[in-house]
Amino acid sequence: MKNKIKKIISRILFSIVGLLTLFSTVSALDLVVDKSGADGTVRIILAPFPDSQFSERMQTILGDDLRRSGRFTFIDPNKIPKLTGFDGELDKESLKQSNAEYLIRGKSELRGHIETLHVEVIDINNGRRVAGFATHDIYNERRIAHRTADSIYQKLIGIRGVFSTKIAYVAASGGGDSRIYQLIVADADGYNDDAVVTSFEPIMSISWSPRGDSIAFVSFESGNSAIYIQNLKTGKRHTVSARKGINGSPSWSPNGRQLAVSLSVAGNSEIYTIDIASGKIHRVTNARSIDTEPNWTKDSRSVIFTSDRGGSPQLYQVNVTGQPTVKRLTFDGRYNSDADVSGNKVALVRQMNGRFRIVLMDLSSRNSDIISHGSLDESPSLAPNGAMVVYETKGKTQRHVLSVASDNGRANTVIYSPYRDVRHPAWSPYIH
Amino acid sequence: MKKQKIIIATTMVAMLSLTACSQQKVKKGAGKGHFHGNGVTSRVVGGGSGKGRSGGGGGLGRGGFGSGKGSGSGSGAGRGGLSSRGTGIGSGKGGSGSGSSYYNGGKGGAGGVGGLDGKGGSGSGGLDGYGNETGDRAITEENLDNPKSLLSTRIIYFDYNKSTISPKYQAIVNAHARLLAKSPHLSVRLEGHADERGTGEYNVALSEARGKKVQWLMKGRGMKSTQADVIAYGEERPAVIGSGERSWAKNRRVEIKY
Repeated sequence: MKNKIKKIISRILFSIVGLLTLFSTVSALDLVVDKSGADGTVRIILAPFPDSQFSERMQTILGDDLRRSGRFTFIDPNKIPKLTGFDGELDKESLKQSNAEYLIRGKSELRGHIETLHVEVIDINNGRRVAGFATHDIYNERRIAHRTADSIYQKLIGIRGVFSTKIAYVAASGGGDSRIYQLIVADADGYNDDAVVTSFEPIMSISWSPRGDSIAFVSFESGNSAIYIQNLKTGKRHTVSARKGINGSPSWSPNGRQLAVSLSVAGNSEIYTIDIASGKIHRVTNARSIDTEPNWTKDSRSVIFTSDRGGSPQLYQVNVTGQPTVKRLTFDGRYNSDADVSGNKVALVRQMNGRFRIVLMDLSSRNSDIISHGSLDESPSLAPNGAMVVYETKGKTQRHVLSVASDNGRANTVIYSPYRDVRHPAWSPYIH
Repeated sequence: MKKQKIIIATTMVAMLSLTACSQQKVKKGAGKGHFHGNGVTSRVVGGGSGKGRSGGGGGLGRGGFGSGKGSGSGSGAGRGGLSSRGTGIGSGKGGSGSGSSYYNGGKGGAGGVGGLDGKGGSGSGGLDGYGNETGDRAITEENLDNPKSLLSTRIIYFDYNKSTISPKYQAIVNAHARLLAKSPHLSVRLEGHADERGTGEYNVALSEARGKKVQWLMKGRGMKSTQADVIAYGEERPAVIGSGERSWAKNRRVEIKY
């Protein structure tokens, strides 16, 4: 209930801001009353963008984006009589009967090499246009569609969209000795995939720099695990740690200066931080148990990590500077591990009745929700807005696929990859 | 009559076995032995001793590492082996005994040839088996490729989320440790692996704990620590693709790579 009120308030505020800036004539109250669906989703009609193949494709891409977010209920435009295209006359009665809150219409335009997608968001209750976006680029309909989806999402949900961010993951192909591992960077919907590292040895544990221009990862190409940083623009790579034993779990600090890692150079797996500029290491944990999978909290002062010090793997939090006070965070379930933190939310893996599933936990309330349905789900990575999680799951064909779950548990979508077996996804930050 | 012979033979097996070790139980012409090892040097006792005068006894299990417990069984019914006390008649070849030790699957020896009129014939001693206490002569580099040698087995399996080496694999670790101890020019990679359940880097750490356990055992047997590196692959390199205990069991492993 509290959440719902919060949501309504945020939508009121957002609506006010939006209205003031765009169409000052619309009453703010109109946008709020009766608009919050019982399931917390926004009910929309995404009308066809019929004028060209470009616009049709863009409509599909941005529609899929919005669906994957789990925050919208789509009302079939075919069931609305007299539905008109961009800027066309509105049949207010039939629109109102549809029970939708917003109508989204668009058209494309090509001038020289510049493609533009015009999209309008109409409040069905009063027939007013509450937002209009013109997004353009040079022959890049996917980017235009994702950016438009970001704008619509931000307008209607009130938080920043993540559809034009990236996902990095590891693809494996071939079998036996000819197995090839590739580090792929793709759009958040899986398309536009590009291999940035290729190796005959496993690659895992990808972490993005907070600016989104570099990635840290683990590769076994030297014959043992080692941590590398690779710049995505220049392709330049350097070794961060190739010590004896495990070199694992790099997690880039939000301030960009350090990596939290797991090293077993002193005997067993412990948490360390590495200063990226100097390469100096600082030991954080000291226990006989397994301590691994560190992930920074947003203040760059502590990490949440996995430890079996209590007998089974659970999440703990420890300060990385000063007194390393350790506190336990998870108590439900025999196995809680591999935290990924974004803001106040933590995605993690929990074992329940023999099944491994993705759980989203609120750091202040410690409330948690199960948001995946598989039995071998792992490697969760939160989108930078904290509202979606990409993770690895095993399909019926025994192949690993990547799936995106919405924070409200309503959407769970396997995303596209041209590769047979894909694992270890890492969602990028916002890329400027 | 026939029954009587068998009984005699059985008695012999029991007697022989008793001379070899103290805790034997014999049933119906089949020697079944339990043997409490007394430490690292306990040896296999093959069926039919070298001076065998009776049908072959079963191979015996042998002591494992420390105070491990082994058990072996063998069939000792032959065509009437005779006792040293010469109460029997006829001659017979001892049945070949085969014993299997829980630890190592060692083979019991071939039975001795039964002697005539109680004086006993010659018996061939039991084969030493390919066990954890394989005779030192069998611990050679060449035997790494001998499918009959324990050294040809180079994978140790583990229970879920555990790094404990179960007794049945200690024999394998011991054999490799002894080879490494006597061959300082050799070295191994101990590649640890986990099954797909649980998360990536936790499984890397778990697979390292498994590798380190093997390394630790080997060091206890005289291997130098520089002879073995532990590489932790976690769940990244499964031996078998597929979900379910059958696949998982094959993936929770340490591979000893020379």
